[in-house]
Amino acid sequence: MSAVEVGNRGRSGPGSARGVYAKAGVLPVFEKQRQRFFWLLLAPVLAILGVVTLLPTLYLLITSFTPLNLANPATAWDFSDPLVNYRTLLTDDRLHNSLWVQAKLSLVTVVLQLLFGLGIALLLNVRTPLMNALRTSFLVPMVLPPIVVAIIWKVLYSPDISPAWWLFQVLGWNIQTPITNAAWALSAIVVADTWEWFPFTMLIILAALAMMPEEQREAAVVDGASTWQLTWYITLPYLKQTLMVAGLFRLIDSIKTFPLIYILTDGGPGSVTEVSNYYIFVQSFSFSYIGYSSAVTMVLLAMIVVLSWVIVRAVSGGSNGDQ
Amino acid sequence: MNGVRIEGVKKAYGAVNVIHGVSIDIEDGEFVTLVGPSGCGKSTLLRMIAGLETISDGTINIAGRVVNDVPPKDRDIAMVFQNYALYPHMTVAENMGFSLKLQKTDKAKIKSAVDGAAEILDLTKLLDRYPKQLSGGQRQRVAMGRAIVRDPEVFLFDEPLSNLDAKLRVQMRSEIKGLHQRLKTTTVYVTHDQIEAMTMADKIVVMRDGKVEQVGKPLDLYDRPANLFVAGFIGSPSMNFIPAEWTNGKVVTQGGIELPSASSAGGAIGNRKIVYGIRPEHMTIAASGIPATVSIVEPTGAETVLLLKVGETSVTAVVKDRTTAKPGDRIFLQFQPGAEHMFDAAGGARLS
Amino acid sequence: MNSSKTGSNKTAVDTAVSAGVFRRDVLRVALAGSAMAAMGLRAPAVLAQTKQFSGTTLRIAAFQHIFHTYIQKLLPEFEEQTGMKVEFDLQAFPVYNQRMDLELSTHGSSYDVCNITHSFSGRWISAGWMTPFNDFLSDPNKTAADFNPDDFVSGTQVAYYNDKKELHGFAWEAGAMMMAASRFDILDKQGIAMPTTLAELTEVCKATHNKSGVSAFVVDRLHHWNFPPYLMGFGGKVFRDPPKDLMPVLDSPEAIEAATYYANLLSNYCPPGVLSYTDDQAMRNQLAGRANLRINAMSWLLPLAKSDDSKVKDTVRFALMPAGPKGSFPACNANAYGIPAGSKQKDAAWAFIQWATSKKTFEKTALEMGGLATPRRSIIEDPRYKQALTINGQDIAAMYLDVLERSGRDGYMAYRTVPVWPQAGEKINKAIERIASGQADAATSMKSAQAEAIEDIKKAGVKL
Repeated sequence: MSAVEVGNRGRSGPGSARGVYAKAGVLPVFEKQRQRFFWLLLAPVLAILGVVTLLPTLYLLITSFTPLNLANPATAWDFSDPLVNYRTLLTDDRLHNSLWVQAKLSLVTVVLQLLFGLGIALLLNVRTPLMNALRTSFLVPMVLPPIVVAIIWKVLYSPDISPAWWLFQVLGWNIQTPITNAAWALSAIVVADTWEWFPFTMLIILAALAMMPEEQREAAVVDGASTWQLTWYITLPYLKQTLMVAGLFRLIDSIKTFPLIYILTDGGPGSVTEVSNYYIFVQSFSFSYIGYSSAVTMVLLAMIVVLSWVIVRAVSGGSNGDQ
Repeated sequence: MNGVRIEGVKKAYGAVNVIHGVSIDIEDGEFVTLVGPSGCGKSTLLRMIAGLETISDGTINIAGRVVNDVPPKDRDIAMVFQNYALYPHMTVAENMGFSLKLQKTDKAKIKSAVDGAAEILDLTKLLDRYPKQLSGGQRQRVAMGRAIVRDPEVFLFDEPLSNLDAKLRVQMRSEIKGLHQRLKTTTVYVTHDQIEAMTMADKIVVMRDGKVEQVGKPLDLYDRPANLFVAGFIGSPSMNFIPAEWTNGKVVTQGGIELPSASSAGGAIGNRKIVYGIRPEHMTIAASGIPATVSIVEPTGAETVLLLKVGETSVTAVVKDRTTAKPGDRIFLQFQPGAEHMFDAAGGARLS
Repeated sequence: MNSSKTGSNKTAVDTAVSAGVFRRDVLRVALAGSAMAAMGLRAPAVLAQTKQFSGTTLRIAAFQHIFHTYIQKLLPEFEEQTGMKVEFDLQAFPVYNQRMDLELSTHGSSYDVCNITHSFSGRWISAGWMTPFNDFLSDPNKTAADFNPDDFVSGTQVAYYNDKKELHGFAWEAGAMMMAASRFDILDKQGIAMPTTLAELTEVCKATHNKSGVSAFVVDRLHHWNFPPYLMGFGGKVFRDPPKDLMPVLDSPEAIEAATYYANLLSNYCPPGVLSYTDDQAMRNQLAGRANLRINAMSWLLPLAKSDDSKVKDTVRFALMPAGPKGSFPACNANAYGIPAGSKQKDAAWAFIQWATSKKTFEKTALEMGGLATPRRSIIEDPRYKQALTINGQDIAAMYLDVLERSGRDGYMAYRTVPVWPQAGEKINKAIERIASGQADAATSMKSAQAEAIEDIKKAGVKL
């Protein structure tokens, strides 16, 4: 992209210095120098980004057109049937099941995390030393390494060693452990995941609440709002934007759920908790079907990109001008 | 028993006392301004009336009942905030009708109340707009409309015009005054601008450092300020203060210049150091009188403001006639007889 | 330095050096072998006796197992003798398998010795990722005369041959499936003996389940290891005729019957949540006396009698796995040391493997340190071994040897060593989970497993 072309793109802004000059098709020397300088500064970062993200993605894309199986060297760079993997994934029931499980998991965990995060943020939004201390302790689940969280919940869900089941026994309840129950396994993971990540949404909402203008709340109090009415009519509409942003973050993150599934259920019983990235993991590292898993990864990536674009449009579309 | 009675009210934040025993009587239908420099406690007092701050000691009475422990929504008050505090996600109509909606009033009543207030404030065309689409003046009117709809016992204004530009401020001043004449609701109005206080109030309360300095009608405060602070606060440009001594029935400055004084005050004062006060608008340029040197001449069109030096003291004079005086000229000043004020140099209390 | 050694315990190093007469032959062979060994052998006989691999660091990858702890205790002597430094890199079992799989596929040289996990042996060996031992074994300068490869019980070595009958590994541990009851007293009280058939097993479970708060049975969730013996006991098979005919037969009527039987055990006679049990969890259950019968490799059952954590030392009882209507096929596996194809220090690696799996080493690890799941017959038949494995009056050593020999002789473990076993095993795992958690009946589940297995095996490039 030459400096002239870049300059010509500035034509869209009437009155911009570049626009004025670009009419003649020529940039003044200092403008060209400026742009060269910017590109020079950006070049190292772009290079690193390219090597670290673009190249592997490109490799993944290319591999998705081969039936690469690490145990069978002849399959590398075999482009004889480039669409074989994509055809297979159209009829792969296990993959479709994993997408459905993923959708369920993402939807429920995002909603629950927003609800819990919101609820606790509202309760904690009081500036006293006790609340400050409590606020820190609420961060613990998010701060623990995910594998530790998974092990904690594995212990909680194992009847013979779980303190919860000791309690159930004392109360005389005979409850089956959810992680081996086809109907409850996914819920078990949802619970653990919500426990782990609600502090994230809580933090974002607390930050927004701290910036909320005090006068609005006072005006509402004078107008006669009870605490509940204040929350419903004033605080929640104010938080709408924040909730959407937090929800988007959690949605994209929920697609990466792994340690909980690996430790708690291994995708089971059967395939009821097997989400798409877990399926990709099994295909790649238990069977070395790198070609097929690359194709599935590409499809998943495309879906995430589209989803993010849709949500970002919705979020920024709602924020016209200041309030 | 109607109106607002503030009796011995104190406010402390922890160990820090910010309001030291304030007592004010506000009659039913009166427009009272709380005025004073920043930090004097006027906003705190207002918020205590509203119920947004707790009362550490003393009582506040609204319409005959003690409201110390009554929550804001039950005090029958409405407040207009400095930053308008409109709800950004609601239309103008919804903003104004919000308090009624909270009380679960039916839609028809809400609509008629809102329409009524909108008509008074000329907001009818703006009812479906959102706050971010309105100008500052319009937003302030919506805030007032929100207060009117509640039909309260007392209006509370917390420096509502501070965020507006000068011209708009003047316009809104008369609108608020007109509103008060029409609705005749008791109003407590906080401002740091003494011109607003003077033009709008039935009664002014001057506050400083958590105490009431003087309460009275605007002209009373203008004519007979109780102390140096009130004298210097009320009136613009502010009163001139010339340090002097009262000896043997005469006022003499340190430079030896004698200043005119009404002789009736003489006996009560005794020999002491005083501060001689004279308002700029009570001075005229004459052929003889008190000698002064011109420093700066500021013609404003309607009047001329002169910065002068009388002896060592800087003095401001405001004269109605055009003058040919130039900086550096020596002129003579005449004071309007009886317009002088004398204050005790120690403590600032009024002497004459 | 070597004067203290007796003749019969010469290592490869000693052998090569003391046979100075054959130096010319040795040199010829050495030129074709690794450069390191050649350098060592070119030195005069006297100096080359000790520290032949001085300066070498040998890197070994394996999964966490007590045996490697024993070896590490004995390492100083080996390191002193050979001059090499030995470093172990241990991971948890599933992590090790995946990492090693990836590592081997790159033909990397990061590791010189690695564990060949039994269920991956077919895959790794047929892909050419391991080094055959023929050259080492046929070279008297590299292999001690008393190493005696035939001393390994046949069932333990079966997995490490490729189809050209080349050997790629030597076992350091063997697993022989048998049955143990942690609370035999519960059976005894009702006058019940240890079951000898699968039908009897169900009866025993029914009669003893939840007596004294003890579950009758316990299993771990590695169904691909636990289930095939039942499958074969009912007359079913995993593949039609491995290793040539890899067509799965998971939906045969016998397979469905076996799956029904096994899932029934899981659902009705095991502790709650058994579907999520790791092998360690299941063992802990038994050790604490919360579950009674378990069928698994001996090394998972011995702790009932030997571990300090065991609460059931006095009430444990062993037996051979009950037979199905079509016979008894207790599973047998082994884990072996092998040399990755990409290693650049193969001679040093071979020296280590010889030493680590020699009779002398096993005598220490098995008889002195308690690593009793050993693959060498001479050790198993040693009187000290028999004594160690006499538990509550039973001769466990004989059971152990029986299973090892049987599986080698009858060859029914061939299914586990084919290259596509991981794929098929995973389908079996999922199928059993589906049945036991009530998501599908046995017929539906096994038919799905069959279809999925065929698809996956085809994806691996196998012609069915």
